[in-house]
Amino acid sequence: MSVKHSLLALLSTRSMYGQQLKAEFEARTGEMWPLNVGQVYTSLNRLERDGFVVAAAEGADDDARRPYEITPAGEVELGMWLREPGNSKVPPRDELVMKIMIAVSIEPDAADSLSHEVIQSHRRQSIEAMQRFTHLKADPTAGSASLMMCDAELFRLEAAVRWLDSVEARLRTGAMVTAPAAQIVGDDMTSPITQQVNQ
Amino acid sequence: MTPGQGSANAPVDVIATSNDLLPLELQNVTRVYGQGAREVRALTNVNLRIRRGEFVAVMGPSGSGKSTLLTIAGGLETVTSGCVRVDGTDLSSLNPTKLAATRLQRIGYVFQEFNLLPALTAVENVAMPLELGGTNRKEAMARAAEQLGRVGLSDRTEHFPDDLSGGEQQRVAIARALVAGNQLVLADEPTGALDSVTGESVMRTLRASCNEGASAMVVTHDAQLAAWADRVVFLRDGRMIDETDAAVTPEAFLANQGGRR
Repeated sequence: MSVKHSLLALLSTRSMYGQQLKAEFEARTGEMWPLNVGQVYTSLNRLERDGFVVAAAEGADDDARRPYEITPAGEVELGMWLREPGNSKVPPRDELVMKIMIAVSIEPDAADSLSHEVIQSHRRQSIEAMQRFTHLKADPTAGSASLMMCDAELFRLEAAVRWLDSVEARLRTGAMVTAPAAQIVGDDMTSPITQQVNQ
Repeated sequence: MTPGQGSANAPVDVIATSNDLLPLELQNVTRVYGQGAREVRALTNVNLRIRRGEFVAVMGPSGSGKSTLLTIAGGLETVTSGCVRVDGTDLSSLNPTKLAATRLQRIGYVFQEFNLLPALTAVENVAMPLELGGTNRKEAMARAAEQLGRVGLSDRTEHFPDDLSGGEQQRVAIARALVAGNQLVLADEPTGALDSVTGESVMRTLRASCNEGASAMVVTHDAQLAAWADRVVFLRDGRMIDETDAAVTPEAFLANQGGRR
């Protein structure tokens, strides 16, 4: 998540003080990611350094009372950031995926094996997290931003549960085949599979 | 709450609805199909108790025994061993007529494909269980209209199922499931035929019904649907292998989230 660019986006609507930016950011992301004021000013300083925002100096007695506004260069930067792909090329290092892959590799086939126990434990915990987000969503006073954030988390967790289901189904239907360890050629640390995905 | 109170010895024609009785209790339920080499154990020693106002989801893959569990809980199938009690009454103690009456009065069903009668309006569909139970038409229609209001469909009473959206049809089905004062809803993938936002409106309706005192058991493989439940139990190969902990308060949860990020 880029706080810096999110602040830039907020400033594209109107000029704002640091405190206002903090409040607006939190409201628009369903209060899922609380910011501290320090983070806000660090980001603003970087944006100012890069020429993407300017602080109005006139009539300001201290930093906290200086409204910031976006520059034309900032508008261009924001447009690029909103459209550039997220981290979709390299698969992110997902801790859950790693744990399951390791559990499966340790003991792949016994019926009541470590794998099934580990899979079920993660399935239960994912569903428990989903119950909590659903509870938040069921609150009749929840705003749209909060509903959308809850949905984002629910879809992410649902994907994890479905992946766990598919791993379990694979474990049940056949023997696991272990592929030979990939050879690392030269100093290129990228695995063949990552190279294929990133093409 | 006193488990099993009233149970098998209760006179069947006085089906108590005391708050002390569990809307649904499965005790050591085992269901075996076939014999010998062809024997299939669909359920093995399943224990499940659903409290008044509780919404329980049963999750499991295809073939885990979910549907068998639902049909047994609804008295549509018998157990090989063990006991099913609805409002404290052992279903196996009932003769076919009493069993049918119990099903009609106590248990409402919601299916994936809505199962509304296309030639009847929404209000007539909802009134049907009442009329089958002997309520006169005028009263049945009035109560059905009231029940449709409770699921947010008071402006759809005269519509035929074909003129309703999928989500509206399923809410009509929920109204029908609850109209006779049935306190137990059994549902099989109730949002399976709906998109996610429409499915959510159906789950909100079911959740609200439970908040008002109905109880529900929903079988599903859909995690988003299951997450609406108070408790999720996991079924594998006919056995209950796990269940979720009681939900923490949302406040504690948010504090935890803030600390983690």
